Amino acid sequence: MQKILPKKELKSFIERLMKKHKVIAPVKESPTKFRELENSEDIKNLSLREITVLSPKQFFIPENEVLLEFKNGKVIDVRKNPEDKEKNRIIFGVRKCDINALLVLDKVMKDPLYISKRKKTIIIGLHCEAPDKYCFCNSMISEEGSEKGYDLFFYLHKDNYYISIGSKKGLSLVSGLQSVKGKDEVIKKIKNFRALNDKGIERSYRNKIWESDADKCLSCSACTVDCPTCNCFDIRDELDANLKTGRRVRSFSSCQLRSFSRVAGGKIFRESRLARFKHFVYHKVVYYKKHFGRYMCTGCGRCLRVCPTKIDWVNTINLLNEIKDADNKGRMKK
Amino acid sequence: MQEKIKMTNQKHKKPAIGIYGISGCAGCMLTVLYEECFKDIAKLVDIKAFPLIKEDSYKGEFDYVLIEGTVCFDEDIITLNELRKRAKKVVALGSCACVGGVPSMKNFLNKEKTMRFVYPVYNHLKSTNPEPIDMHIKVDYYLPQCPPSKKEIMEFVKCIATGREFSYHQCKDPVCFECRKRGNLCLLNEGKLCLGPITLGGCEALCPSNDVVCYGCRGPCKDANTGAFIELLKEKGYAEKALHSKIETFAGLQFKEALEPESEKRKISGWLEE
Ligand code: SF4
Ligand code: SF4
Ligand code: SF4
Repeated sequence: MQKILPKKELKSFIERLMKKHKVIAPVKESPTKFRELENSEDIKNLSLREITVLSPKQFFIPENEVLLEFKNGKVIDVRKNPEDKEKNRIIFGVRKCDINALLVLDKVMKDPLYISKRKKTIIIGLHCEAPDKYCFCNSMISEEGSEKGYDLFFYLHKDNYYISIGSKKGLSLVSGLQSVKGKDEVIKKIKNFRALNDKGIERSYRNKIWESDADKCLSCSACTVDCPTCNCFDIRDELDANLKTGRRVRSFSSCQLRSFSRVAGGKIFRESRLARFKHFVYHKVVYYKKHFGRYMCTGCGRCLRVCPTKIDWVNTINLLNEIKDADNKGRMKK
Repeated sequence: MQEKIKMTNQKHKKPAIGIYGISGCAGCMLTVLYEECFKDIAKLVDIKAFPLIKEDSYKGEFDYVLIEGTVCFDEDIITLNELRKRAKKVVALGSCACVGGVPSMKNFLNKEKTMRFVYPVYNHLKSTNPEPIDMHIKVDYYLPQCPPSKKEIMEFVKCIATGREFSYHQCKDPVCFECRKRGNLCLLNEGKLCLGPITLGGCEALCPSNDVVCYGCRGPCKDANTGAFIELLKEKGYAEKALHSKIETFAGLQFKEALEPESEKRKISGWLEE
């Protein structure tokens, strides 16, 4: 059953949500980003077409999140009583790839701080109307496919939003809206201008083709920081200037950095740029899938969009398969 | 639940430090004096000498000497050697001391012309090629940036006050890492010449976060793929001259070493080592 909301009533709908909830949505700024809506001016500036530079990942794994505090010789474990700041939080306007990204994170982020934030946050999805040349989400659809990952999902069709319902919490937000009658439900498919063909990619790990990509890589980490499913972190202890109080914080890290695989004694066990680069690609399409039965990559295209040297690993994988196909044909002719 | 932990040994004797400058603008030493830093520094260490703010009558030894500025005159070399002898550890403070800074630009310009441009009368000046201090003495720690980061200065001071190894707590990643984490629009992708990918981070991407490209004031990141970066810029259509003048603004000498490791006659100590 879908609910229906006239397009021009979206603003008043969000205003109503804001009365009882903290609403986070993509706002047109430089650059467009997900942030908490503060007033009706913000609602006017919603940016619902363009993909945001950063995904909503930051609201579940915030940078510099405090894990422990130490005060006068005592340790306070913040994880045991997660704060209630995120209560009644709604993230509005999350596109399919970023919803899938949260499902990917759910399988690996098992710490109480993450889990409590996930439980307390309502996700309202929005059908993506403007995929660009980097998007390939249709190739990365989960094989499980059963989990919806949203509480509500909006499809714009003509002058109305058709709203699919994913949970009781979601339903309670739209219970006042009219239901769609009969079989007129609207479910749209996303347009893609590229696809990923990763058949047999495990066997191409040692292919020379990866070297030309890695030679261009600046190890700047942009791909991993902007990726909605990358979740590697570093843990640091911060000491205040009184040398008595401080905290243990978790901050984002990246497999593209040399510092990431540095261990005690100074040894760096993933030293070469090539190994670092391939690790990113293989983790996204191969390793994670072996464990959890779905791709880690959701095809949002952010890594390709942001890469300063425009390294296109999706194209590289496709190329590998084209070469293989051509080889096979050649062999068959002989 | 609360657990007891053992606190850092606070009976640790306060380290004796000196803060000096050779040829420079005094901006780095001034940074130490900012309220955010100085009130804590004064408590955590024993400042034996700081000629910028008090008469220098101390003749003894130091645990740490922080030195600002570029080597521009023979006198600077004498000062450096004398301080090195009196200090257990030497800390380069700011871009000039660490990587050469703005004065080191002169290495890439016509010397006569540059002198004439700056000083109407210059015959009496015995200036040398501007160089970072580690081309003359051994440097143990580096606090780069123009001016240095207050946060990093404080981290250093807390480390020496508690006996922790500072270099372990220092950023080793490129500026882009911090820049991306702040969710900025990438200036390089917007068509501006940003040195973020090859520059050592730790500044929290201060410039790109304020819409100004990175000029590389923290010097090259050890892991920088400088060759590929230059290729990229050429592909983007930047003239070699524009590229060089940007790279030579702060750390031309260091980037030169990173670019052509073989050609450098004199290996610059420390900076790119681990
Ligand atoms: S790997 Fe790239 S395309 Fe895949 S989810 Fe991450 S940023 Fe998006
Ligand atoms: S964004 Fe591009 S250049 Fe930067 S680390 Fe990723 S692949 Fe390498
Ligand atoms: S703006 Fe500069 S520092 Fe930031 S990501 Fe782009 S190249 Fe890197």
